[in-house]
Amino acid sequence: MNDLTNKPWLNWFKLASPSTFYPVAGRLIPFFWILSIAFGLAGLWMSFFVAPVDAVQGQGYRIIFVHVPASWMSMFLYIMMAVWAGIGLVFNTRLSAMMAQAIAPIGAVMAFLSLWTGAFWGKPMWGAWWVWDARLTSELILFFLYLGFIALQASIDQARRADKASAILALVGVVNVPIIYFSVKWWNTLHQGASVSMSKAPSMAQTMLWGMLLMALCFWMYAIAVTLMRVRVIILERESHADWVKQLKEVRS
Amino acid sequence: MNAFFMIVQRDLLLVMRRKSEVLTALFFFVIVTSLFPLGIGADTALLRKIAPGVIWVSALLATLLGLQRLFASDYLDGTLEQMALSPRSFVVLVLGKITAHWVVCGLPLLILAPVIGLQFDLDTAALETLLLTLLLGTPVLSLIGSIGAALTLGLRGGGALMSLLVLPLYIPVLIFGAGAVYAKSVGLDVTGHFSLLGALLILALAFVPWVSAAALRIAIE
Amino acid sequence: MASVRRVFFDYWLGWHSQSRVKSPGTHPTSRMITKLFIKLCFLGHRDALKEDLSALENLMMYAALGAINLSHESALQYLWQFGLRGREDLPVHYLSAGQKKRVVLARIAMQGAPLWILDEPFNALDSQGVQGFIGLLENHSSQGGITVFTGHQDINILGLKVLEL
Repeated sequence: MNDLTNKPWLNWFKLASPSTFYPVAGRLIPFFWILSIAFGLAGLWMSFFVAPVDAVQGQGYRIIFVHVPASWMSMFLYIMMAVWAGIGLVFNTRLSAMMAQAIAPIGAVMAFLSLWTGAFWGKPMWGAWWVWDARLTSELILFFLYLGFIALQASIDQARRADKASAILALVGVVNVPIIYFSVKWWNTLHQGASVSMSKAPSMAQTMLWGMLLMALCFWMYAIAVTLMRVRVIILERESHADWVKQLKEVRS
Repeated sequence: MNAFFMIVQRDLLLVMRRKSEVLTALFFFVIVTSLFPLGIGADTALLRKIAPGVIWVSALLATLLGLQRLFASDYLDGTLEQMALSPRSFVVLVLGKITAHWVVCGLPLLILAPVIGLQFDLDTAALETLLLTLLLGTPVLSLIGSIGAALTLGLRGGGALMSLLVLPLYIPVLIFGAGAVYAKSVGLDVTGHFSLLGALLILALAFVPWVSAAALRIAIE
Repeated sequence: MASVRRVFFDYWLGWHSQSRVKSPGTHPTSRMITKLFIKLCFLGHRDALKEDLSALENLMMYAALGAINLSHESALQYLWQFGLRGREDLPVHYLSAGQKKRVVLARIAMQGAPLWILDEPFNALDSQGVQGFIGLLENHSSQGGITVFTGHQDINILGLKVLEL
């Protein structure tokens, strides 16, 4: 029996065991949901009621309060996914690989959301659903990188091989993301056919910035909550042969 | 180093004994480039403009076709395992295989590309630039592609999955390669493009063999 | 349904129970790898022969892989020793299963590693081939080598230890 189950925060390494982490994650999830909802309410209030109407873009610009946090989160989550995958590869810990596996779809959803909200913003602003602007294009490529990671994991049957192979892919991807972003920016300036110059954001009112930050925090807390929920499910799936899983209330019912 | 040359020689010998596999990838390159004028129209000015992009994208796709064979046959008959268990450096052996792949898939593209370029009415300066960018870029394509081939070794649906993994990583090479030819044809300076292509080549040579060797070990285990 | 017997051939008392190949995933240094793998000859389920290359070319390839200086003549000698005279230059896919197995035996003999780990080496061998292989094993052990192999057959070799799984 694990005598540190009462005080798991005293020994971080014990948390690397799925059986210890599972209940801890379970206790943390509601906490993060509450934070997410709180930040979300505050952020939405700021973005809809406090932030002023934009001089150029009118009311429609408010979609950036979803678009920008989603973009930030998609990039941040990719890095986190690569970090967890890297830890899993170097230290050979299953749980780290499971964390990477859990984060991947959430990051992909953030990227997808960013692309769609970008399109919805673009239509009234630039008259086109899609422009090949540097940041949107990089976001699209990031979305493909997420899809590749998820597809690779899904096609390998042996769990440990899937973990290690996708870890290598994530690490190669994370090194490439800056290269890809830079090359796309270069390409965009060269082919200045895209008339929209998105490089200079108008100097933002304080309230707009606060709105974005609050929404970003909301998305972050949401991402953590959902990651923890997903990793618990993944633990149950992958450790289903273990005794401690068979003893669980939710498994026995 | 001896091992490197042995593997290159061995792979080239194997290709010589099965020429048809190689030629199909090259014919694919030629056919795909011919599809674009058929799909878009024979307007010379337009073709001249899209030529760098079309030729580069076709080169990417043709390389991808060839990559599927890179490790597959050695994996299937067990020789890849033997290479991993040999006292020679596995990284050097992998680099040898990638080099042989480039000689078989990349070099012929260099020879065919000017011909295709003429079909698209590119002028001499643009053709020269095209050749040079392909010279720098196709090794990078072989190198980065080998990571995808190693990761998807032996998987069902390997080819399509490998393309999904590898194509996003090809994008910088495509941008700088095709961009250089376009820039040359409108009279802009291309040293930046070439420096970046060169940098990508050096980076790829430095890191990819280790990554691919690690990915292969994971696939073999 | 015959159970697989794992057979130990144990003259070298100093050897530990490392009957499994040390996994490359544990990141030993490359010098350690060279020192370890140069002592190992492994035969898996597949023949590990390039079908499009000839028996001779396959042998030369394995010599280069094993960092062994093999002359043309010595390579031919190994092949003739296993009854492949006249078939050295044919692409391997023309050979019968038994002949392919004999090319593999020639390769094992050529590599001269102290430890042999062979998975079902008696498969596809005819009685003459089996005799040749047994001779190879006995020769190997008399020079202080170890062989670990699996098989379904009843083999009579001096100094055999059988482990039934």
